[in-house]
Formats: sequence, structure tokens, C-alpha cells
Amino acid sequence: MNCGNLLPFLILLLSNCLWSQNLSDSLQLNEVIVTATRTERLLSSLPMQTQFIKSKEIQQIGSNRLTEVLAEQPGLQLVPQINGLGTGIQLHGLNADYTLIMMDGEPVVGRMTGTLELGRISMQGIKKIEVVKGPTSSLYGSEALGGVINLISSRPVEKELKFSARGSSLSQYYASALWNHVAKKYQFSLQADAFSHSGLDNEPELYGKTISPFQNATLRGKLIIPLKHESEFSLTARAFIEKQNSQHQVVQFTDSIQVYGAAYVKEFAVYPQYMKKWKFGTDLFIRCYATQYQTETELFQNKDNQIYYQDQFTQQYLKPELQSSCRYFKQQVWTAGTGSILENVNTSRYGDANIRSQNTYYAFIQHDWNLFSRLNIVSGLRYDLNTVYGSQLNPKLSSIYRFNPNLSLKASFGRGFKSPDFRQLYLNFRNNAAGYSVFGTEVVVEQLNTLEKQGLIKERYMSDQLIQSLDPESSYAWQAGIDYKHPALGSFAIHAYRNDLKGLIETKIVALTTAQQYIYSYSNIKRAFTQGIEFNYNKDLNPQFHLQLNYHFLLAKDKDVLDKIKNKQLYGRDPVSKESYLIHSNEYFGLAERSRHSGSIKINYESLQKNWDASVRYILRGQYGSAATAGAVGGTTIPSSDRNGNQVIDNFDQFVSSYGLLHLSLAHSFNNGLRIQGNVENLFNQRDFVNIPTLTGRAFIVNIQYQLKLKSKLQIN
Amino acid sequence: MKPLVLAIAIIIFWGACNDDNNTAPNPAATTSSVSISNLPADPPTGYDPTNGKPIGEKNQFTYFRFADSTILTQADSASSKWDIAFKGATIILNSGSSGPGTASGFVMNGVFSDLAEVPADSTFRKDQAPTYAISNWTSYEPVSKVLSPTPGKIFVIKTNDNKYVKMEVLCYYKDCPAQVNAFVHAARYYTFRYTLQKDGSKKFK
Repeated sequence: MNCGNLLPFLILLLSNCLWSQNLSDSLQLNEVIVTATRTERLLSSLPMQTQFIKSKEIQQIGSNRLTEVLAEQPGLQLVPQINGLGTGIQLHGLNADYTLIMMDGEPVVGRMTGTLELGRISMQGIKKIEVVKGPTSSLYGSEALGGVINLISSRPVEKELKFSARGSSLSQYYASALWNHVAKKYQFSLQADAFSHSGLDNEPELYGKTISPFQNATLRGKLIIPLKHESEFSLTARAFIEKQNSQHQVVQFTDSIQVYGAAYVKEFAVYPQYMKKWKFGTDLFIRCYATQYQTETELFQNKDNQIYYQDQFTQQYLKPELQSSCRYFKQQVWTAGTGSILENVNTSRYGDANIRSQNTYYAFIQHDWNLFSRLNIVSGLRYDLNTVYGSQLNPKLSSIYRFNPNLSLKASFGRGFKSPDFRQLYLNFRNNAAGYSVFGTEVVVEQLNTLEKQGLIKERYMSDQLIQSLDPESSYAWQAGIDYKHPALGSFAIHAYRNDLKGLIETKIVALTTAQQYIYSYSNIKRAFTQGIEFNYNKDLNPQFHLQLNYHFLLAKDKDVLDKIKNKQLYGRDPVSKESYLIHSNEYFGLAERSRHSGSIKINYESLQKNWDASVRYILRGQYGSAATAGAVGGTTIPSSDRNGNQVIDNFDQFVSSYGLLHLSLAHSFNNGLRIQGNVENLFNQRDFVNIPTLTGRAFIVNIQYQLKLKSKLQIN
Repeated sequence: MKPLVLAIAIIIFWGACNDDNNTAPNPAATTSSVSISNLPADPPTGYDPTNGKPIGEKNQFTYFRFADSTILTQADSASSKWDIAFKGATIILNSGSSGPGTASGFVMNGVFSDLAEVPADSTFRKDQAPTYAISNWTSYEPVSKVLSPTPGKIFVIKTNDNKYVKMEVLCYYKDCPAQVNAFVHAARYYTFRYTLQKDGSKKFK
């Protein structure tokens, strides 16, 4: 492994540092955030817009699925994937693939068709979730274009056993067990859970279910060995396995074919890390993250049990990395790191058994500077060199000015990027029934040449050079915000942001076959922006009640559509008279799946004895337009909102209506470690079968948790 | 009789009276606006149950003449009797590689009812397979598999007898459903409207 090659760089870095004592922690007690700077920083002093979801809140939400926890957070929205496979998270109006999802600082992989299925990530053993909004590619590279969501697992601090079980009236069952062990020479944590969902059927008269039933299991482990001189070795590992039973109807022209089958997902990850801290405030991390994601799908036709569809997909990801921070007195912290990512994919979707691979080599540096006692500036830069798409340089500059402990002003500017995924580079997909093909940019010319030799190409629309080059998608973004804490009125935070995205990858027609079928490939064609304002308000009503309000205003538009409108080139078609008319700029609503208004009201209660807790959460989402979402293999199909034929969401289209979801929870903790929680999800039973098939109706949930502390035994040891 | 008189009047006064609103010829009087519904453009007769592919297409164009809104027979395919023909999403004009006629045309952006005359800088093209004068007027949605005429596309055509036509395809599915379902509604049926200026001028109103 090439971890060793990086040592000279590190030694050079360390030798440049002057040491000083730790930054004094005289600041108010506050949450420590690690994601925003890759160092431990107090939330209140961070110049980037950062939020965290603590374990208490995760517990009250009462869900073991990451999607359901994130769906309640300000500025985040649950959206269906374009391919109909599951749901993703939209952060500040950006597509789900522009937010990097990490566990303990390492990326979760498995973007088989471009997007990650977040529903598979279990919340068991997750201490908190940190959300950094705004481009963070200056630290994490690709995918951190819009932000980063980092799930942080808890470290074993005492001997304990924990069991939990959950049942939902929507026939979802969950059970978990956790064993934490602490000894002088080592600590470990072992967790296992299993989840079963018998599916959801919106239209029982039709064959198959809207949400297919599945069962999954997660196994996670963490071993920590403290070494001499403030150093430590840790090993984190996880395994996940899921089986999804499919039964659905594939509609092809006037025929419908009933199919059945199963899809399997297997995921493994292992993550050893060596950490050393020096008294003078310098630390060193050597880590190596390895993960594999694998899926296999097999569908059969009901009528003759013949194979209807089959695919397999395996992605491997290996990332050795070195990181170090050092301090110049109290004012400055330098953090630098370097590493490489070795990735490969092997799938039937690319038309052959070949393994496609790409390597990325990167280095980053960050300077965290307390310029005056009130001003903090964090500047960072990361360089990525990729074997397929070349190099990327991502800077970021953030600053915070603290007028006093209660009032601070923040601003940041940065660049983020997302590299083209394997599908966009290597896909080889032919749909003869529907009459089109899609080829990735690395294989499209070769495929076109082969077809041309066979005399099957009628016309080519783009030059070879143009269709072969695919660049990463990128964004420049700025943010500004004010945090104000009034002793009596509560805490206010207002943040404004804008992301200017360019080179967004879309499918593009590159050729026409003699059979009048289009051939598509990918191209950096789209430009867009998202901008908005986020308002958060927190107040302790009294020692027991806590109120939280938030509102998010969002505008997200396609710049090319705006240009078209400006040049009077965008038309609509009246659905009844079928006549065309011109669309004006004030009639353009924006990108699909973006609600202009969203927000939430949350009230939390905790009794003074801490034995009772409760929450009332009302999550609101304003109207939005939906893009057509295809039902891929086992996926759901959502119709487009477009009613006037221009494939743009404008005021003449049919919007998905706004809705509000009210969730309740009530829990009692007994002295013996038993906790019983009851939840009602979606009390008003809001449903929309057509546009939001994944929105489940009212559900009653019972959670039982039993925690057994083994403290006495520790003393015996 | 009346249109004829007016046509003569236009010829006489053309150029001389352009600035005089009171006596200016009324181009609308010599135009005819026609709507055609469900013109079949080689629709399939069924679908293959094994792979869902459409079957039974005859691979034949449907030939149409603007002057009298007539569909011609296959026997007339090699004649100059037709101006425009339809097969699936392919539209040909009777000229160049498509036929012995002189019909030519182009596709422009605009609102059909607002187009008062053929723009001065227009270039009328004849068919030269695989490039057709009437092309790039459809939008295909790969998810719903719906092919629809792109809104705001106007065809401007000069017929075999040198008359100007503006035309807009309204829909591609039988009976123009308000919301097309490609798996339910029959494709390859054209509903369109056109305005023919019979006096040979480029004005539509």
C-alpha cells in the first residue's frame, strides 16, 4: 500500500511547525464538531454553516433509517431518485449526488445508478450526525459539492449491554443488540441489528407492491487500543446485507409483464487508523479505508419462469490517507493531508466482464487562524489528480467575526466538485424495446465506430472529441450568516447562500441509428443555480420545554432555461386547445423537486427527573413540481408535473401540493435501564399515492430499549 | 367568387397602397385555416407480446396536399400532387430526395397565431436525406416514452404551387389526450393546423 510513500511529505510538514500548548478551552461548553475542519472545533466558533443532530433527537425520531432522521432537518429535503430507486437527500436545493455521505469521516460508496440509497444506513450506535452546508471539496474532494453529512459512531466509554426492539403498525420490525466493553488495554463495541419491512401497497388491486418488502442486517464493530504517549490504534468494521423481494408489473406498450425475483445488496468496510497526539498540540493520523459494495438482481417472468432481467454490480474503494495538524501558539492551526483513492467497478451494466478502475491522488492543506481575539479565518485548498478526468483544485475561505459571545457574523466562499461516476463513463445500455441506447463517454466512440462499420448509424450529431471529454461538475458558492443569542428571546440564526453550478452532466443525443433510434451519451451541458435563506430559531421555554422553528426559502433554476426565456424561445402548449404560447420569466417556477418554502416546528419536552421525554414535530413542505421518475427495476414511477409540453416546471403545470407531517413521541425511562417509547408518525395520515408513493401513512410505533450497565464488573477487572 | 376578386385586388394594389390602411388588401381574406385530426402516419396494428415492440407498420408515408386538405393514395407517391407526407415522427416535403415536386420549408420558433408573415430572412430548404427540411420539432421523454411536438415550433412551407403555409403540429397521439400515456394511447396520429395563403403572398394576416 502506498501509505509509506507519503511519510517524507509528513515529516517535512511536522518539521515546519512550532509547538505550543493546547488552545485553551475557556470558551463556553459547546458541541465539538470534527467534520467542518477535520479538526476538533467548537460549533459556536465555526465559520462554516454547520449543524448537528444529537443522539437524543435521533432517539426521539424513533427511526433506524438515516433518511427518516435527515428528512426532519432544516434545509434538507427527502427526494426520490431520478431512477426511482429509493430516496436521497437534497441539501440547499442540490441534487442528492452533490452531498457527500460519510461514516466516521469516510465516504459511503455504492452509487450504482448514480445515487446512494440512504435508507440502508442504520442509525444503531450513531452518536450524532454532523451536517456541513456549503462546498467542502477543499477537504474531502469529489461529491462534497453541496455539503457533507457525517455520521459519527459512539466510542465505548463504559461496560454495557443494550438491547432494543421496535415494531410499527406498518409492519416494520427492528431489533438490535450492542455490547460495549472497556478494559485497560483495549475497548471495543459490537453491534448487530436486523430490520424487516413487509412492504407497502398503495394499490392492492394491482400486482406487486409500491414499496417492495425487504430484510436487512447490519453488523458493526470498533476496537480501540490505547498505546503509549497519547497514541492509539483503532479498527472499525461494518457489514451490511439486504434482500429485497420484487414483485411488480412491467408495462411495455400495451402489454404488461408480471415479474418476480430478488435483489441482494452486500456491503463491507474496514477502517484501521493509527493516531498520535503530541503534548505540544500536534497530531498525526494514518488511516486506510477499504470498502466494497455489491448488488445482484435477478427477475423472472411469472408466466414461464424465464429470466426477465439480471444484473450485478461490484464497486471496490480503497483509500490510504495521512493527516496531521500542528499549532503555532494559540493563533494558528495548520492541517494537511495526502492520500489516494483506488476505485474499481465491475458490472454487467457495462456490457462486458471488464473491471473499470480509476485512481485519484490528492493533497490538502488548511490554515485556521485566530487573527484577533474576535476574528477567525479558515482557508483551505485541495488538489485532486484523477487518472480519468484530470485535475481539480478546490479552494475555500471562511471567516467568523464574533462581536461578543452572543453575536457573530459568518461568511464563506468556496468551490466544490463532483467527478463523473462510473456509469457516466462506462455505461453500455441498450433498450431495444423502447428503442434507445446509452453509452458512457469513455466507450461511446468505440461503440459508435462499431455500429457504423455495421452500417447501423444514420447520423452523428457530435464530433468524437466533443463526446469523449467529460469533466467533473462544479460549483462556486458563497454563504453569509448571522447568529444571535438573546438572553430572554432565544437564539436566532439566519443564513443566506448561493451555489452557481456549471458543467452539470446530462444525457445528450449523440447519434441516430438507421432504425430511427437515438443513441445517448453524457455531456457537461447544464448550468443552474440554487439560492436561499435559512432561518433557525431555538428557545428554552422553561427547563422542560424547548422550542425549535425553522424556515427555508429556496430558489433553484436552470440558467439555460432562463436564457431561453430571455430570448423568447420557451413555449408551453395548452393541454386542451393544444396551442403553443410563450412562457415569461415570472412564470418559470424552477427545477423539479424543489419546494420554494419549507420548514418545521418542533417542541421537545424532558422532565426534570429526566424520566419522561416527549416531542411534537410538524414538518412542512411547500408545493413543488416533479420530474418524471422512471420505475427502474423494482422502483416506483412518478409522473412528471409538466402539463404544457416544455419539460420545464412553470406556473401552468400541475404541482405536487404542499403538505405537513405531524409526528409525536412519548417516552418513559425507568431506573433499571428500561426505556419505553411510543411514536405516532404522520398523525394526519397525509398521502399522495401518485406523486409521493413512498410517503407512508399514519403509523404507530413502539420502541423498547434495555440498557444494562456492567460497571461493577469493571472494578473487579 | 369573392376570394378571387380580392386576390385580383391584391395584385393590383400591391405595393401602391402599402401605407394606406383604408385601402390595404386584407391578406386574411385569401387565407384558409384548416385543422386536421388524427391523420394516421403508419401506425402499428399491434404489439409483439414477447418484446412489446410495435408490429404491423407498413413502412409507408401518408401523403397530404394543403390546397384542398386531401390525403392522397400511395399511387400518387411519385407525383407532384402532394406537398407533405408523414411516417412516424418523420415528415418529408415533396422535393429533393423525397419527391419530384418543389415543396420546401423550414421550422421556426414562435407562436402560431402571432406569425403574421414569413420572416424576411427565411431560407426554404428542400429535403436531402438524411436531412429533412422539417426536422427537430419533437421532444422525446425517455422516462414516460412520450414523443410530443415541441411547443412553439412552426413549420413554414412553400407548396408545390408556390403558396405559403404556416403549420403547427398539435399532437402525435390519437384523439389528443390531455395527458398522454405512451403505453395506452396510440401514437403516430397527427393532429395539426395550418394556414394557407392562396394569393402567393407571404402574409398570413
